[in-house]
Order: sequence, then structure tokens, then C-alpha cells
Amino acid sequence: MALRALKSNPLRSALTMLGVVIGVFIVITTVSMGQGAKNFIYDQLTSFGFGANMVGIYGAPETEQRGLGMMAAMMKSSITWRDIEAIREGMPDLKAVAPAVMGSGEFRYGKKTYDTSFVVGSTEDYEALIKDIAAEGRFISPLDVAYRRRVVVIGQAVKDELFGTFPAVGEQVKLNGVTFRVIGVGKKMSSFFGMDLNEMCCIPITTAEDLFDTSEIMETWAVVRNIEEVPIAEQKIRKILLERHGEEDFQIRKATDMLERIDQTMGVLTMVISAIAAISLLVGSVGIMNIMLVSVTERIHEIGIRKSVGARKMDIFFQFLFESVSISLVGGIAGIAFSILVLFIIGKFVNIRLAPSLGAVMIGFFVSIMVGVVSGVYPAMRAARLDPVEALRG
Amino acid sequence: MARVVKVEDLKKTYLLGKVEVPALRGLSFEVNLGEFVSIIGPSGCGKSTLLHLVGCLDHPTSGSVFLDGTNVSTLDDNQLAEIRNKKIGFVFQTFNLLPRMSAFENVELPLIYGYFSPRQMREKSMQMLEKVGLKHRAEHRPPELSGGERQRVAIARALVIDPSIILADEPTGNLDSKSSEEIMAIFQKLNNEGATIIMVTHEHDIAQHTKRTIHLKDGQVVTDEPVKDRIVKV
Repeated sequence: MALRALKSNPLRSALTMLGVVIGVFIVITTVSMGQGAKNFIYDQLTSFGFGANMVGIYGAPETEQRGLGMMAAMMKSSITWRDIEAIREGMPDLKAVAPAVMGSGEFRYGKKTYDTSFVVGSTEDYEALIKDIAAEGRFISPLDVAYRRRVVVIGQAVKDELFGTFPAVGEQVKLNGVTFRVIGVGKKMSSFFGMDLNEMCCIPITTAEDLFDTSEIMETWAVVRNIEEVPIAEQKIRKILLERHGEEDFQIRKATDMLERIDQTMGVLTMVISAIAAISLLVGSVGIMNIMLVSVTERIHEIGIRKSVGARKMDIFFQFLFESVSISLVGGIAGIAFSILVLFIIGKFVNIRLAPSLGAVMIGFFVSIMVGVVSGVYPAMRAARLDPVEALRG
Repeated sequence: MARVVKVEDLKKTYLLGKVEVPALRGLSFEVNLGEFVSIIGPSGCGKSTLLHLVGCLDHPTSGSVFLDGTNVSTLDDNQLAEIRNKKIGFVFQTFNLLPRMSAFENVELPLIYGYFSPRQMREKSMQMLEKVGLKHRAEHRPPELSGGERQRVAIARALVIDPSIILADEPTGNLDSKSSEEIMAIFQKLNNEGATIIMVTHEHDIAQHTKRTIHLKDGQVVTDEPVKDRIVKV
């Protein structure tokens, strides 16, 4: 009955629904895209070996000008190889302590060059971050670090450029003018936050200190065995570094901090967009109420007829309330369908796991019912209260 | 004879702005089971008001209406709606059918406010359409039907609840003379089968089809007498 009333004036019904369609569409798309972004970042982190069991150490205090973590430590870092060794000695329970001295490298092999490779000086523990990092040959060993050996594990992109399909392991290359022996080739990796990891080459941290003439370690990841130990590990590292440095010129961050920060950012964004959605739904609601009032006025005679054959106030009330809820619900379902379609299309273009969040769909569903009820109550009451004799005349 | 309707000193006053306009000034009569009564009088004499009060569409200013022994003047809106739904079959001058619904759905309308199974509703409605000779037009909408056919649908709708009384308000007022005769024939047939009918009209020749005429003037009963020279169609 209610749907028949909708069909009798399809254009008007469609226009009335628009506010709800848009509102529900915004809610579902936003929540789902936020979820998608989080999935994307989570996937990136876990693919790189990051997990909740990691603690990051950066050799610069947190300041507003220099920002957080690595950004701050890139400029100047107070952490040195000595600090790392102290942590290793003081905390033998750690699964890994992977420091990184970073720099840019120019490779030469015969006549071929590779200009801007991203060189990381680290230890055997770096394998804790990227599992099976060396696809051919081997990764850096403790001895390489101890003897400051000039050995390098080159990335796939560098290998392809310099060696093509020929074997690279065992060959001599020049890195920033210094001769290095290739001991391994990195596995093929997907990009990490826009950074091509296939360009990354690893050398022993001690060698990197010589090559880049620095003792600053920009980033160190300490890996604990159990997630529950993260807070304890954080405290211990802080204590060791404080003893050595005398002041807190460093930062210790959890890998999950990043996800939390994204959550916060998404939270603000979600609030803003929810407000827009709420306004859209409010406008939709006013539209439905308006159209329902018109509908009641147009159908006064019908109401009179229904009352004359015995419809009670409640019958009339629910008839119009149902109609209002139907308009809103059809609008809501259209919004849900539309958002699923759009998410599907977006998901095709960007390589992100994008699925409509079930929770958001449920919310959209119930919100559209609520909008229908809220905007239908007053018109339905007006209809129900009509005097039968007057209505029959109408 | 069982009394179906008893009207006692019935008064109804309308407020037009601040002016009180008396429509009914205290009238009384009774209608027994199986009677066919016409209420006649000039326009504005209170005929329709009386029918609305007997039909439980309105509350009287004072006085009482008894339907099947129940004083309906004291009932609330919901109780009145239920009485309309169970005991009263209205037939209006302007038919008052829902234009977007089929003849069948119009006949079914009173039943959806009662407690009937879909099957019962379908059977009863079809039965009534058959009774008024419109079974073949069941799926047609009112705009596709002639005036006489529409009024027959309205009669079927009035009958579908098996009412205690049929209240007809100028049922032939919008019909040509041929259709009017047909409708009156249907009313006479129903009356012969035992239906109690009160019909409001301002046409004397239509009133001639009934068995008893109540003459109203200025909201009061002037005469109340059996019809002489009754036109019998059935």
C-alpha cells in the first residue's frame, strides 16, 4: 500500500529520497574508505615485517619544528652504534635490534651505473624487519659487522640495472667510489608508502659509518618476543639510553603508534564528514516531512473514506508512518547500493582492499528507518486527527 | 420487531466563528429491523447531519443515538470507528471510492480494518461484487466505471461487512434516471432480503421507492409516515 503511493508519483518520491540517499551514501563510503585506508596501512606495515611487537628508537627529541620519529632523526641523531651495542648487551631477551644508518649510494659496475640507491647500514638483525630479505646469496652476518667488511646486498632494481640476467653474487662493484663485494640480492618487494624497496641496498652498519662518515643512527627497531613485553622493553631502553646520554635526546615509539595516529586523524575526518552526512539527512528528513504533509493534504478525502469504513486513528497514523518510512528506507537502500557500487569502482582503480563496512551499512539502514519515523510522525498525526465528516467533504 | 436505531431528542449545533448554527433541534424516531426509511427535506434541513450522527461519524451536541441497543453518543473515537467498521454500511452521493484502487480492492477496504484472513477478505469481496452484478469489472478502477457501476461498487463495499444498517446519503444524486432506478432496485432487493436501510434524499420520486418517509424541516421531524403508492422495482 505504501509502495503503491510512492509509485504513483515516482519523480516526487525520488527527489524526496535524495537527501537520505546522499546522507547514507556519505556515511557508508566514508567509514568504508577509512577502514580501507587503515587496512592499506596495516597491510604495508605487516608486509614490511612491522608488528605490534616492535619499538622504534630515534635519536632526536620530539619537537614541533622537526616533527616525530624518523623525520626528526634524519636531521641529526644522538643514537650511535655504541648505544645499540649497550642495548643488545643490557637486554639479551630482545629478539632483534635492527639499527639503520641511511644514505644515498651511487653504484658502478663496469660501464654501468645506478645513481640514487637507498643504502641502509645495518646488522644481521635487519632480517627481522624484512623476512628472507636476500633472495640470492646471503644477508649481512655478525662477522661482516665486526670486521667492517665492504660487502653489499643489492636490491632487485639495482641488480637488474647493473647485471641484467647475469649473476651478481660474488662480483665487485663500486659504491660511492669504494669497492664492495656483492654477497646477496634482495627479494622483489612491493613499494612501501611510495618508497621503492627494490632500490634498497644493505651494508654492514660499521661499514656504513666509514662510507658516510657518520656515527648517527637514524632509526632502530627493537623486536620483543611477546607483545606484552613492549612496555617493559620501552622502559628498559629508555633507562639504558638515559644513563648513556644523561638527557632525553631521543624518542621511543611503538609500531602501533602509527595506527593509533591514523585512527585519530580518521576520527576527526569521520566527525567532519558525519556532520555533513547528518546535515544531508536532516535536509532529507525535512524534505520527507514536507512531502508527507503535502501527501496528507492531497489525500484528505481518502482519509475520510477510510475513516468512514472504520479505520481507527492508529490505522491512519501507521499508514502514513509506513509510507514515510518506506520513502526513507528505499532512499537508504539506494544510498547503500550506490556506495557499494562506488566503493567497488574505487577499489578497482586504487589497489586497496575496499569493502563496504558491515557496521556502516547497518547504521545506514537503521538511520534511514529513523529518519522515516522522525519525519513521518507529525504528518501521520495530522492525518490521524482529521475529523471524518470534514475529511469526507475535503 | 427488533429495534435497530433509536434517536432520542438529538441536537447538533455547529459553531461558525462565534455564531451557533443549530442543525438538528431535538428530533426523535426509531427504525426497526427490515425497515426501508427515507429521510426527506430541503437542503440545509439537517438530513446529512442526522445521517452522520446515526452513522457514528460525528458526536451529537446533546441527545442520544442507540444502535442495536448501544448508546453510541457516549463512545470515544476508536469505539465509534469500530462500530462503523462492524455495523454500518455507508453509500454516498459522490460514491467515495478510492480512485487508484480496483473495484475489488475498494470493496475489500472495510475488511482490512477488521480481523479477517486474506482468503476470507477475497471471498467476501468477490461475493458482494457478484451480488451487485459487477464481478466481471472487479479489476477495473473507479474512473473506468460508469456512475451506476461506481455506486454499485460502493453498495458492495457497504455490504461486505454484513452491516446492521445501510445508510445512504443521496445515493442517486449524481446518477441519471436509468442508473437511479437500477440502484433503487438493488436497495429494494436488499431490503427484501432483510436489510435495514435509511436513505437521505431530496427527491420525492426516489423516496417513493422506500417504505416509510421521515420529513425533516429546520432540524426537526415534520411528518413520519408510511409511503403511499410505493414504486416497487423488484
